[in-house]
Amino acid sequence: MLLKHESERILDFVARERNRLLPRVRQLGHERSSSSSFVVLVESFFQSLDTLMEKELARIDAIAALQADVASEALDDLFKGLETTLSFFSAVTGNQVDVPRELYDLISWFFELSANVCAPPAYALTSGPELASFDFRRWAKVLFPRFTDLKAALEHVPFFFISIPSWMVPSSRALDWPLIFHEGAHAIENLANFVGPRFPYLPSDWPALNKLAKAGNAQAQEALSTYELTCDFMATYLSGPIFAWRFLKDHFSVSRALHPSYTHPTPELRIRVLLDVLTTQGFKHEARRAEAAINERLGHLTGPAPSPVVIESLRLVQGSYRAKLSGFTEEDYKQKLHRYSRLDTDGLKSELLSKRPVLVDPACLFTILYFDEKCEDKTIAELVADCIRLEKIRRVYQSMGLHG
Amino acid sequence: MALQDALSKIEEYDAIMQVPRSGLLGIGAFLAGTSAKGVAEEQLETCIETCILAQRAIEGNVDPQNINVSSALQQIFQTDAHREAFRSTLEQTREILELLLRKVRGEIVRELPPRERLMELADQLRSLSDQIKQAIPRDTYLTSLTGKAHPGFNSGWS
Repeated sequence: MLLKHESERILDFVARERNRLLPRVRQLGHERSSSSSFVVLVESFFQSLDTLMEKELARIDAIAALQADVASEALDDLFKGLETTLSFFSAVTGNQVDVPRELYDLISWFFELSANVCAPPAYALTSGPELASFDFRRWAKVLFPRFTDLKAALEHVPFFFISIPSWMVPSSRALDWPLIFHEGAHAIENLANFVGPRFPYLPSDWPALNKLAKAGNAQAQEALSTYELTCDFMATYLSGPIFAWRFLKDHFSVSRALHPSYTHPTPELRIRVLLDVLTTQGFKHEARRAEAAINERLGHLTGPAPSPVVIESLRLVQGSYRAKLSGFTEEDYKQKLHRYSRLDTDGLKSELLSKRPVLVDPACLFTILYFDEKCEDKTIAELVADCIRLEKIRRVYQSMGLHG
Repeated sequence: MALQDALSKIEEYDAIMQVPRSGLLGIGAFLAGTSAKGVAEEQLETCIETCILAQRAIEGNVDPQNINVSSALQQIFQTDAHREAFRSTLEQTREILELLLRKVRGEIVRELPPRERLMELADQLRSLSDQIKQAIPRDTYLTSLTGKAHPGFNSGWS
């Protein structure tokens, strides 16, 4: 074997990393049930390596006789792919301690609402520089492009990593957590694929569209806008007005409202689309509130008009989701509050502001607090996180037939 | 976006590296004779297909099929002169490899390039590979995925 030493170094590296990382990951699984799907992912990654590594190395060795430098480069690439992947797993494991379990409860609740279009996605939350998400299948495809068996083994099960800016992670920022629903919606759309068929001549994956859009392909830009607006729609359709409020608060700027990027529609358009969604769902008062806020911020300025193709595609995609999923309506909101307490929105808000928990589902909880600056208080946000946790426990007890 | 961008760059690197990688393997397998006929056919086909995609991209035809190759080429060849030189390399590579492929498939090929010409082409492909590595530093993008500092020796074994 010409490249015996290089192959052995890879096998040694994987063996040492298995001994170092796997016990840490398993320990995490014992401590936090929210990490169980991440543990399964890491275990199956090592299992795939156990089964396939020798075969991959033998394949590379076979080409070493033809071009040693090409084979050696393949080994380098394999090593770097493994090193990066295991290093990423290690970083995710390490930062789980910062991610409140209430945040996992909230995102899992959101995914459960979409169970009629796809099985709730397996996922892990991790703090990072930006709000973003990616499917691990893409990671495997990109990092191990030449290792067909390994790539195929990892491509079976979708798994989503959602990266959240570190300032947004603590429970003191619980009011901003609904912004993460947009990323959750990307995972759902990735599995359900309602947008792709609207653009049959384009690739249906976001990264390829991104490149085409960057190269000036107008259709790809329309497809990307439709993806983004669909994810905003999903966040609002399933969880109510909170997304629009936090989006206005954290992501709106006049500059971005006037100058669109090639990937995302302007914040103005994004908000105006959500106003329609809110109105359709019966949240007319909340829609007027958000509209007044955006008008106040923009004054007489207006951004570019939306493309008719995007608006029509969005209408059709929204129709597909509406046909499968029940959205959160104002009627639901009133009924749920009524079942929980005799108090109305203002009464329940007073309860929360007096630091008393309110056990309603997250959509209702966030709607109670909609557009109230008094709720920006750190302690209230932490109480909101507690309420999410307590409500989850209540749901679990109820599903087991236990009461009290 | 930062993570998606890094993944995209790595994807582009791999798409364009197909040209030197499969070209070199195809030539190596061809020279090895009948024992590596299967590998030669597979690699020569791959290289020719990628050359066609790259030719379309370098001529400005950007479509979903060649978007990764096209994005990579924009980073590697930034002047018209460089693009023209690359287009000519692609043409020569394709011409030679098509002859080799026909020979591997058992067709009669009257003017097969001499071994020296194949060695020369292999050197050109190695030089292209180095050019790609310089323009799209795969290891740097990989490192950015985990947020670590870039390894100093660029060895991949640190």
